[in-house]
Amino acid sequence: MGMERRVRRAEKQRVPKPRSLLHDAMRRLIRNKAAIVGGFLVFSLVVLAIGANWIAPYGYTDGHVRDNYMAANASHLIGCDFMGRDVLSRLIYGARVSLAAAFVGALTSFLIGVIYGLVSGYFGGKTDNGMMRFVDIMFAFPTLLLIILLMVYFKSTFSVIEPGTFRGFLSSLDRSMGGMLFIFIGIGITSWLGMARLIRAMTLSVREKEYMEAARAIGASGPRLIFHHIFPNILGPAIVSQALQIPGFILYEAFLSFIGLGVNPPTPSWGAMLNEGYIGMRSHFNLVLWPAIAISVTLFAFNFLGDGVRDAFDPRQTR
Amino acid sequence: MKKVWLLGLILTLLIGVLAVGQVKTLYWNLGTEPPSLDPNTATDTTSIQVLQALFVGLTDFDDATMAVVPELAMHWEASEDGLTWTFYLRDDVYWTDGTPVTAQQVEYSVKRTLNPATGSSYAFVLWMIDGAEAYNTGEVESADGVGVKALGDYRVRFTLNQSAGYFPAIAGMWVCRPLPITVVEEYGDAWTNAENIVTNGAYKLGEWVHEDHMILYKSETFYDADKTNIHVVYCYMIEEASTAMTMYEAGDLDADENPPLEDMDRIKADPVLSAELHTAPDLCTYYYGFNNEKAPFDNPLVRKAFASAIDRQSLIDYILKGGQKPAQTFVCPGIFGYIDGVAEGIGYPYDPEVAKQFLADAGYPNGEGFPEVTLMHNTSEGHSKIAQFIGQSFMDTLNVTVNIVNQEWKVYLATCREDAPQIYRMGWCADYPDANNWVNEVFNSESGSNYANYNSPDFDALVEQAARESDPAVRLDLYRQAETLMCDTDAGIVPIYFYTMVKLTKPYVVRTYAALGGEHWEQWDILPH
Amino acid sequence: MFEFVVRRLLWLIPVIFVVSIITFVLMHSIPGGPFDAEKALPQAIIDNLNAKYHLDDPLWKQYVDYMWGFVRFDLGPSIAYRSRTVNDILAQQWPVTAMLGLASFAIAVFGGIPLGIISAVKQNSLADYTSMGISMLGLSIPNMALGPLLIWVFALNLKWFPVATWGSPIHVVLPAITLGTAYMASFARLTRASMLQVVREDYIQTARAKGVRHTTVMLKHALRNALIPVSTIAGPSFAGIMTGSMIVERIFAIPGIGKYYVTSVGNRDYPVIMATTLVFAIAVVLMNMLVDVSYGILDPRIRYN
Repeated sequence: MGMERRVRRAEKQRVPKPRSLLHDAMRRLIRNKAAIVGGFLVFSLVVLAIGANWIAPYGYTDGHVRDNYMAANASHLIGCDFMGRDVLSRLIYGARVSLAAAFVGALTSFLIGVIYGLVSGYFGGKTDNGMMRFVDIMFAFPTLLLIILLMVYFKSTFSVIEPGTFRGFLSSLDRSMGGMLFIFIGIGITSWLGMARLIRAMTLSVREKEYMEAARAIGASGPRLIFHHIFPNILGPAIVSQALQIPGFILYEAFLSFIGLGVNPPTPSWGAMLNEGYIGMRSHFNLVLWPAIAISVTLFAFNFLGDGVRDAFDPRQTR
Repeated sequence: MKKVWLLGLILTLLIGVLAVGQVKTLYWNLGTEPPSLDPNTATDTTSIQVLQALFVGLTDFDDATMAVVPELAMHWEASEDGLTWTFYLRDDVYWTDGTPVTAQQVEYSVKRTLNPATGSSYAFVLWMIDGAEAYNTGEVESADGVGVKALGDYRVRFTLNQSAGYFPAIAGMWVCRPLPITVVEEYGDAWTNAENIVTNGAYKLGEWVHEDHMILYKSETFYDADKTNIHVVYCYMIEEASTAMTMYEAGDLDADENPPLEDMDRIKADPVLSAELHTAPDLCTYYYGFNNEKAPFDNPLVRKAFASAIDRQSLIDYILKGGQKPAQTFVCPGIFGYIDGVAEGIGYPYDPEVAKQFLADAGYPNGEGFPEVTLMHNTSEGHSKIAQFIGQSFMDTLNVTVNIVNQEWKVYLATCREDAPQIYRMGWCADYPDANNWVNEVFNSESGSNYANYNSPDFDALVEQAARESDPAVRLDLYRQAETLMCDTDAGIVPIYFYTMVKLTKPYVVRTYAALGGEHWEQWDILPH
Repeated sequence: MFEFVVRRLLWLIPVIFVVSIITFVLMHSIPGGPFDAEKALPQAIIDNLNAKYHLDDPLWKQYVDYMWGFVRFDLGPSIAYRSRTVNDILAQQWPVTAMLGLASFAIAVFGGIPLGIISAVKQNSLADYTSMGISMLGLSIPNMALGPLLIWVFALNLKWFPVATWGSPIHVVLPAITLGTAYMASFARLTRASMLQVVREDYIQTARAKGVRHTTVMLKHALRNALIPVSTIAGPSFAGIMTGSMIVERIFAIPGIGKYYVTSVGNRDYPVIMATTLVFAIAVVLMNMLVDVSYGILDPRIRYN
């Protein structure tokens, strides 16, 4: 009797309560202070972007050109740009473009990469070989040139007003988004390669796992196998990997705006504001400083958050 | 005795060293790598600037008065009917390889420009020469029919197909400058490389490191070499205007021909920089064109509404900041045929009420029912700012939706040529100082540059008649009628402003400001500093 | 090893083929040609120019002619720069970009890896947080803001460096810092993470248990293996540096090939577009091959056969 009680008590002490991977990851994430700060910042940015209409003191086209380059004062906390528009408001609205470029760009390249990688990894053999060879080749292609050619092509083909045709529809969609549609498409087309490789590698390894054999044994085939069994198992690391790329997409959008292939004015984007301001940097430093801070803080936040998420999901952490 | 001799030697050496130390060097920014130093094919201002220093032309422009002055040609005469021009050349001009500059080389150059195989973009300015157009467009195979002939070594005769009082200006353009025939024949397109090139101007090409710099040295064999003060022109090729500005402020550049307008406020407020700033009219016009054949701009009332919604003065004061002049006519000041539209009441001054009225008269009261329109410009930060300002002005005044779109330059040109947008941005700069270069060559209904599709038979008749007419007073009146028709009655386009050149120059540089064809470095000086 | 290198070099052939076809098709799909200008040329001149540059040949023939020249290292004339051939342009401009790229890469590697090592060795100390903080900063400030800032502080005000242009070693410093900082940060972070991971491996615990000093453990045993994952980003970093050079070259007025990537598209200078793209692709493949060779050196478990 005493023996049983001792055994039961010992068992209670030695076997930990079962916890899911997600639960573990969340606990680790919460303990990572940097990641919490990052997460909070990202959340604030999203709030700013969504609530720009209510939060920003002015509209992003409001202003009189008489006030051009006005220095910071009570009514314009960061001053005005070359057309007398409030810089703070444009920064807040600019969060929309930068975050949209980051998320939608990430989403587009994620989709293309995942589908490509899944198909390649699932079918294996010659198909896989060929598809991966193509990816290897595209890795050597200068992205800069590709995006310039693509953007020039899009802007020339899709700036028409032709209601009723597909071309006209895309053009008007692009216009209503301030010129962002093709930026998303462009970013997506040039950034899916890494994701494709990763997904394909993971698909290949998952494909051989026991539960796959089991599923096949009971008659599941093709698409069902891919989407119902493989996909959920690779989703986690895939998302983490893509999330780590988001800072890169924000910089990408800034770069595109810098070379003139960004959104159409007057839509503000941090990259475009950086471009406008950097020329006159020595005369109006705040016009460069604040967009640069905005981009930097956003990148900081996403980097910390991304690192935290990756560390949290890392099975090798024993802390 | 020996001591005196020694002293003399030391003194000579000292003077020699001081003299070398006195080598006057101008540090200049070309702004970009010159695409071509071949006078026949150059089109851009950078190449033309270098050509100005390296090659002489028959005539030149006086920087102050813009009058045509002799250069290679000592004097010239025209026949009574104005169709035959004879130029008498100097006989003391030599190439850097020692051979003389002769009239045959002028004839060679003109024919080479007109040769379709050369692919010269400026050949069209020579079409007033008899037979030039036929040869240039490939109708005629041989260059023998072209009306340019060398009569002996130092006389060249041009035969024109229409009387043109401004022909001496054309004769001085880079496309007519004499070429070193043997060198060109031997090396083909590579004849302008530093190791092959042979020149005859005030400067010669010393060193050319592509994309980085070019060094020009004073040519001692130039006929006016004793008047050339600056020995060395060191040309940087800095494309970024803000970088050039920084270099100017650091003292690495002696002049900045293109200070960023973003720095304008700071420059004007700075005691040192504002004294070094110089603003002068430049021979270009900035305009917005309407596609006169595309709805809703096929309706003149709509065009007039938009024309009245542009606040030129605010644009100049707050965005451009360069003391530009508002424009209501196309031809700019300084060109013969210029009409002061603002003073004479031509065109549409800024008046929101009038604008709204026009739009209402056109059938869109308060902008109701007005379709979305596109305002297009080529990709550039400057054009973008102007477009944002004017576009916003259209939207606020007329209560309409204007989409601002930009396209890469060549795509933009193709778009404008094939199917111009409803509102498009363009500029035009003078090739030679006559209105014919403007109203006729651009907006004649036959012109390839008439993207606005402005087709008015009356306008065509006026400008063509003005081209043939020789009496200046009659010509001026014809141009007045033409401008009034285009910019006022029909509102085919909206001229916005006349360019100015805004330049910064160090106080120790004694310089002139050239409006056409490139700065005359050989007339400048550098004071000790 | 030799066979491995040969196989990788043979890999260049499909790369060149596919990259050239994609570039060729794309560049001929965008409207506008090299001879479009504001003052429209007469048709006869355009026809003549097209004939001179063989632009009136059927597209497949233009492609074949170009590639035939390419394999014989004859890259054709530049349409925009009439007195220079593409070979001239590459020979004059590429070395400059290569030098800038190498200097930036050196900063990234020799600045970033030690920074990462220090952080890993002194994990969670002030040194760790500081260097990671600096890394984050470097990663987050875009080139186009960092460059002018450095010029303003160090060149214009402190006068330690020239404002711009190229020509002597001192001209390389500011541009290389501008270009390399972001990659230095990447290398630092990755080295640190990789070192920390390797440190948990059993053989490291064994070495510690044997009594080997902490520093020796880190540098002699951990570092070599930690560098393997780090070399995975060498290839993409190199490609990124070549791309980023475009902005930096513009800001610092450096006569490199960077600007040609953009201007050649704007000029529709087809031979230059093809040449810059293909040279870039070849450089990336070669770089990746070097990286893989370095894998073999760093990790004796990997043998290519």
